[in-house]
Amino acid sequence: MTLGYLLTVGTFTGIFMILTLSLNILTGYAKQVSLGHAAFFGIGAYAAAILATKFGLSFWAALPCVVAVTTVVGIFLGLPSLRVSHDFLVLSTIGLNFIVGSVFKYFSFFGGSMGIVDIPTPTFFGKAFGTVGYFGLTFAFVTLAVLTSIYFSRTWGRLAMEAFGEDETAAKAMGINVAKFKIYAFAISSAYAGIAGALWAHYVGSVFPENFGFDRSIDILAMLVLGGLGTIRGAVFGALLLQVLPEALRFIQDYRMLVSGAVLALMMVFQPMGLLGKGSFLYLRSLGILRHFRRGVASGAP
Amino acid sequence: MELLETEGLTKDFGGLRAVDHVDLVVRRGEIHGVIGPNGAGKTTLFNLITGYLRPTYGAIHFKERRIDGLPTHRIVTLGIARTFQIVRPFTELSVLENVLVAWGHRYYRKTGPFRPYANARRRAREILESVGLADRADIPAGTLPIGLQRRLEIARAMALEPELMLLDEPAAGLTEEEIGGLKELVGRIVATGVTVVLVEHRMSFVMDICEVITVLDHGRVIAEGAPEEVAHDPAVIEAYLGTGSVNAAG
Amino acid sequence: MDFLQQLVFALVLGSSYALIAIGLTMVYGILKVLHVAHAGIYTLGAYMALLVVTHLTRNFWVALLLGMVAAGLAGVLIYRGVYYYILRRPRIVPLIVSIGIFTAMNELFRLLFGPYQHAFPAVLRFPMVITPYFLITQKQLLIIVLTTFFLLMLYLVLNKTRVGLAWQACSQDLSMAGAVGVPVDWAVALNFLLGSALAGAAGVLMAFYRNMVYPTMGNVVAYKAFVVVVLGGFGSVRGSVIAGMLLALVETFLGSLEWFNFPRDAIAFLLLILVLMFRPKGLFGRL
Repeated sequence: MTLGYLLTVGTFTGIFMILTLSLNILTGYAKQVSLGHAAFFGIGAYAAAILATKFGLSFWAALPCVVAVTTVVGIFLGLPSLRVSHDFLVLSTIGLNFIVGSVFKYFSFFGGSMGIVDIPTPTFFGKAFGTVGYFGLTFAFVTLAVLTSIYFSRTWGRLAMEAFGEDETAAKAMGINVAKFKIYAFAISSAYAGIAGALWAHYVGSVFPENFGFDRSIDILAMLVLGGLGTIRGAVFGALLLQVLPEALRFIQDYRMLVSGAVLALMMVFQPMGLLGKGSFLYLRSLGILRHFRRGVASGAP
Repeated sequence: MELLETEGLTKDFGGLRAVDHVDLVVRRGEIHGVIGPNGAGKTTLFNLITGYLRPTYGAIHFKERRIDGLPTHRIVTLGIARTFQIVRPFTELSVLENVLVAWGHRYYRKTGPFRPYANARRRAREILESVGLADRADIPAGTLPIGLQRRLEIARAMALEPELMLLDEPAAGLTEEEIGGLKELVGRIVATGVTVVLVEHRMSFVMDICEVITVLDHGRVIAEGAPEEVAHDPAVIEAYLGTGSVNAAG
Repeated sequence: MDFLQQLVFALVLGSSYALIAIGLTMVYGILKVLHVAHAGIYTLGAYMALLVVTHLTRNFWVALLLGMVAAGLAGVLIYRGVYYYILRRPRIVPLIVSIGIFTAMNELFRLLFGPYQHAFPAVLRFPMVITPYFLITQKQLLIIVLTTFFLLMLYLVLNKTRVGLAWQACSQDLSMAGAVGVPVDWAVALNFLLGSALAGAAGVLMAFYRNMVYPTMGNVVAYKAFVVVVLGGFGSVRGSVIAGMLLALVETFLGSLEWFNFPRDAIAFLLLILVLMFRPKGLFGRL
């Protein structure tokens, strides 16, 4: 196991952490289950790829454009959620994978099934990022995503989303403009996904339609559910676990989707709050141990 | 014009007329009771005023402004708060967060919704203290017993800082002792200058607390006035005792 | 005459959509659960039949029957083993569980049978129709006839038996139905059995028709079945059948147009969005 390999795994893990944080806002807070998150991710990646290869923009110049594109597309794709109840929103997000996939595949502007290749590595003051550098770059963005998520979790916006996520009728009685906040949720969530997409595209150097299919959407949801819907620690931990575990235990690699599926089903039945979510077994346990420990320290030092 | 006025308010569900030409006038500062037998259209009336339903005919004026047809969240920001007959707390949020959600809309309308709510906690705690929930501020609202969930429901309505508060059967399922506390709480709310309309089933509670009572039956106003007047109104007695709709129909 | 030939294709395609959608719509009508794992049942039916055909007998009827039985039992198992325990949880729970089961099933098929396509070498003596205007092959005729038969049986069950009555009561209000003496558990289990068996039948028929079985064969079809359920007005069996045929017609005719170079499978999605935006109760919704 070389350092380069570890860094590669780390970089991908970081990208998925951003994706789960992104999904956490939409599904964890606003409870809008999205099975099309890979589509947002893909739109970000394709936007970055096209801006880099066709328009010659640098990673840094393209990034704001990528975020803008994914945000706008996210808002647009969020519109059905205003009319449609939870269950049927899921259906339209499943369809999103198909439709975005077919657009990438059938229109030559997006490279067709040959994808887009030769996406340049980003540079920083004229120097291209190496493996170490890119790992650092990714984790700078992960840090940014975590910090902004923490900030967001302390805003009215998070409260409003959790409120209508649970009960739209009651949320309206609290003066919450549900439609507006749903669109906010889609916009913020897809903006994060766009950044993850750009990081992916420039790291891998190529994008293909198959990279952003239904399976990937399931993966992202499984990560979030495993870690704990509606918590930042859960999102980060879930991505870490489901990205690193298959690398560490090679034999799981082959059963990847089986694991994702089983994780979704079993977690929702037995630990719907996830491993580290609010009120989950592990989280309460660790809080208890911590408290115990603190009390011990306090009484031990008069 | 008074604080709230409805003119010929009518709501049809298919062939059924749930609310039938109701002219309700609520004056500033009063406690106004709306009573009537089951299915008289009381909750429908609330749903119309708060924009959950659109009237088939008629108009609703609040503070001289026509509000029928506005979305619920707009009506709430204009100053009408309501509680639900069946409590609807946000079960996964903490008790304090429930109140914060309600308090938020006034706050973030100025600052934008993406501001931290930390500095509003003090106000939210004050509200919880005034309804006696301060010691449970940090537990999930879903774990509160039903009586306290009703209090939370009122706390949220208070946090909206409304001018008009609509309470939908606030005493349902409460013990006599809890009802005493509720009366006192409603009294305090009114003392802060809030006007209260309450729909209620328990006559004794309404008779005690309300200054004006409107009686609905089959969607129509059959009597209105001070509690003692209404209590002796033959039409009301008939509606409650259900001595047949022969006379009413004729 | 080309028109008539296209109509035959549409009828075959629509039959498969209708057969899958019926199970979905019945489950949604009663449990209000979006039963995503239903797609796995469809595939399961096909694989079961494949096992029969490759190991037991080439007889199509035996394969169909066993495929349906396996699918039906699997459906009941998913209900009694999983959904039953989580129905009272927030709706996001059964939904995500169902997605999880679906994903896991697909993966199991891949691991057990390999990721590649298997041929489906069943034999069957069945007539075909040749006219100057159109041609109905043996397999097409089989699908059309069998689907008609299944729909007729379903109609009888729904309208002429106590089971149908029980389902109706359940779809009105589950707890109320229980209160007035409907054996809810049995009724729902039977609902899963029948709906899943029909999905299994659709799986076998499509495997036979296309002569292939593969792990992800359920994905697109299931998705379209959902579209059909939405178009048909959630929970209405008749609506689903009509909507299934309609979707197949639109796909077949739009797909045959020269200038229409958009992928055919995307049509369903566009229809779904349009309907959800403008007629959220579905095309044939009862409201």
